[in-house]
Amino acid sequence: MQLPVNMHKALLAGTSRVPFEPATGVAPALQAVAGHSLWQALAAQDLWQRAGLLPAAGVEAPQPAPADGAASPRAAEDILLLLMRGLHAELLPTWLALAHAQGVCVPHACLVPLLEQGMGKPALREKLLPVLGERGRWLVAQNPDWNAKYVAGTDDAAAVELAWNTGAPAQRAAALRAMRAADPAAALASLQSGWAQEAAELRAALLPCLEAGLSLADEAFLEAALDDKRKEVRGIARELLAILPGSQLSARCAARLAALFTLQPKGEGQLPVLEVALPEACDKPMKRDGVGAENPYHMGEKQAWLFNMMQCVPPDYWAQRWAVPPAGVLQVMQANDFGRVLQEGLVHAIGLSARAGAASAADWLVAIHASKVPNARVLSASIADKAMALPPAAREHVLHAWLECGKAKGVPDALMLARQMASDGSVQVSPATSRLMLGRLQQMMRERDAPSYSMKLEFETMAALLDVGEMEYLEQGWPEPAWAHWDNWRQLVDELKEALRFKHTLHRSFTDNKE
Amino acid sequence: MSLTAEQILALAPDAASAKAGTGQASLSKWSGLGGHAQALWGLCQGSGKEPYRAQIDLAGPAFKCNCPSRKFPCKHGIGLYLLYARDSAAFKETDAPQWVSDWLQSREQRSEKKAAKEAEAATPEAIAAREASQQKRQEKRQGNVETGLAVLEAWLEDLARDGLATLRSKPSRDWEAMAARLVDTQAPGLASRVRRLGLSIYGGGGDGWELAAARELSQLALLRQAYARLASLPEGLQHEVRSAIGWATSQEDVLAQPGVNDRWLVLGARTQEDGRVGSCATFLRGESSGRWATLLQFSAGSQALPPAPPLGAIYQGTVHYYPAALPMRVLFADDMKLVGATPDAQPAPAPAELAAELARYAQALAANPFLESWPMALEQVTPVHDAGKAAPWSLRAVNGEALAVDAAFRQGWQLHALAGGHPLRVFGLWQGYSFLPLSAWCGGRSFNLDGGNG
Repeated sequence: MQLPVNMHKALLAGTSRVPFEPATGVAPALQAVAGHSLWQALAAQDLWQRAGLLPAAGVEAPQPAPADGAASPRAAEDILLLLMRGLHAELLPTWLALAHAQGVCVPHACLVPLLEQGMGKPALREKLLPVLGERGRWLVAQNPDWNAKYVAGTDDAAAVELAWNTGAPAQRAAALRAMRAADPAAALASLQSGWAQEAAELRAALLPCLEAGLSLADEAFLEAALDDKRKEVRGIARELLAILPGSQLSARCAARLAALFTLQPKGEGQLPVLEVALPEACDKPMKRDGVGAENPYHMGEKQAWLFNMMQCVPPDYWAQRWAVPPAGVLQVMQANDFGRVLQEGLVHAIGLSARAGAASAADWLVAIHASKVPNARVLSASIADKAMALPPAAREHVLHAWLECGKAKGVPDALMLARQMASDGSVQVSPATSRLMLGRLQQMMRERDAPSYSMKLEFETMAALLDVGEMEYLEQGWPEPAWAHWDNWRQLVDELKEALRFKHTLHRSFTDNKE
Repeated sequence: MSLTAEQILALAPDAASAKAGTGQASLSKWSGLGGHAQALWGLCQGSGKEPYRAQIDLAGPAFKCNCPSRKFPCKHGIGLYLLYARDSAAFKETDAPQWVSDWLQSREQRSEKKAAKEAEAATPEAIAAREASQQKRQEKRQGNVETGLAVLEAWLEDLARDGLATLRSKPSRDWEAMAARLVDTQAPGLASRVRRLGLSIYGGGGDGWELAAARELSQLALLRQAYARLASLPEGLQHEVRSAIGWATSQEDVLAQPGVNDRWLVLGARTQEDGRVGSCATFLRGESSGRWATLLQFSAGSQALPPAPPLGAIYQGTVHYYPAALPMRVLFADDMKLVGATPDAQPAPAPAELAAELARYAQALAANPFLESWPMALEQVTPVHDAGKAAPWSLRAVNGEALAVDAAFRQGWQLHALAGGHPLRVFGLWQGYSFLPLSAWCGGRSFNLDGGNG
């Protein structure tokens, strides 16, 4: 609404200060009806304008979105609506992953709420990006807030280039990762060309991106980064070099350790005995290689040096050098006075080799529990974290093996690993592992009268991980209905079954085409 | 015929009930499922020993369950209906068990009883007695309202003298006091407008609140003047003025009006929260009469709104219009029945001509100058975004004309996502200077856009 000047002034300042003049205060056409009251004149003016309003003309048509590929089946869309209403909301990533696998995209009506949800959740964004479809990408491109967060993947080289050159730190890191995936050498060259000018924070943010596609071609650059001014950057470079198979850093640390270790064979069928001398001093080249850089377990100073060096030597090195299998290596180290220090270092090295994608990493992780290492549990509590770095198939192999180890040893770590796998949201384990895991759960149940808090977590983990292809095993193995404590557990068990049944429906909704 | 899952969930009184209802929609929880053309029923195992008996009268839809929940419809009713929508084969087509047929019968009897009561009340003596007592009450009320309106007029004059620029620095209790005064003088319609206006001026930080407030104040002044010469106004307009001030028309009087029988399509709904009173206005359009009808439902306090007719559904039956210059508000007669969940496929309608739509609005305004909003179904319009404007969205017709979308509309991106830059049908309310979308129609489905609009 627009008002004549006098009316507008009178309205804001008050008629006591700016008297309202009917002669000039209303449109000429309204002079006859407006009267002397400001309010009446205003009402007349308002009605007159509303009645005569014309639509804006000559508005440009917007650029329409390109046509989308296959839409998700109606049943799957209904399930998605339920998920967004909060029913089994934890299955949203599963839905998105299934949609991606089936090559369908998010229904148009669900795009905006999901894009909004993803604004604060990077993990959800990652899952959402591949299933946005043409409509979603068209929408994101028009909204600056979304456009900043939903960074394009590798498929759009120009967008990656732009993000790399002008983006915020997080966007540049994402772009560098995409560039590494496409062409590691070119990505390294891009990083190197501006490296000296990058701020220290950015160096620390960008360097970890080299882990994708890491090869010996990166070694010279990483060796140079060992001399970086920033401690954080030096640490990242050291870690990457330790991951890199065949790196000089590993070779240097191995040589230093070899000078301290003496192995005495004990004859056929018996494990050799290891004698260890502590390092005398930590010189400059050692410091450069990270010796003395960190002491996470409050060891003695020299023990920590040992630990730091052990970290950087791939575990396979010991197996080859001593010609004993992984379990043997663990036992040999265990028998030493500094056994705990050596094993801690070795576990860290196993974690790094898992990140490097070494095929033997899974064997090492299995060996930690399968071998007769008596205090495997006192080893660093994060063995499950290390296993998370493995590719999915190997991870499940480790999970299965740990579950088979028996409850005192492998099962607690297996459950921890399972919980982490579950938090990923869309992982599901094989039917065989599912049976084994459910069996362990049922066994734990029988040993207790009532569920503890952690048991509730285990039930949630099961709901996330168990296979839902063939559902019969879910009904088997539970305690008899006559069991005295059944009432304490009934709700948890019913919820688990209900959650898995819902997930079963979710999976089928993509493949059963009723409509 | 069954409603879609979305429509059923929209019947739930709140989000928690919808969620709980979804949890109940699982075959393992139910036994004795059955149904026929008129009703559905089933037994749901709850925490008690005896299963709950849930039943649905499909024509309403109306729900009944013997669980102790105070939510209505309860989760069992919602769950039962959802289960039917998903898996109707699980419901055996049989005769209703005793407890279901009893309920259905009692529902019929109730409406018969109501009719009998009405017939009884329509005897000449009863009418005369009622009218006499009504007359007396009315006279008293008129006196009260006149007092209240005189105070309102003085108050408005004070506002005009002081100007709106200083309005925000004055305490909000002035508004509360004026509203309370109007309630005391039996003008609740005006009272709630004053209260709402008082809240709105302190709320929004944007420009232009003065003009919006001035418009509303001028409308109050106009009503006051119209009431002063009520007798000289046309009869329809008298009703408009009286209902704006707060006179309620009794349901019997409305039902006594001649009815309009048609197939009614539910085009959209607007829910609003006003202090402790929630309201839901559902907009329907008659298929053959082409008339608009608005069904108003209210809730007070913590009570939830009664289930509204679901979006996209089709009802068959009679409505009775409230007497008005521009009859819009209706009551459903007892013969109103849900007959379809989605509109039938129609031949592509002609694209909207926005100038013609606005001309129709001008005519409506001429009939009722107190008109606040006017329903419009815009065919083949495209949402257009312009980040530079205070109201960034507009709807563009095929001929390049466009209407501004209300700045308070929160679902612009949602509408844009549905349209994808292509034309679609949008239903909403024209509010004088801007359009408030309430639903959209594309790909053979209706999408609700009401909600989150302050």
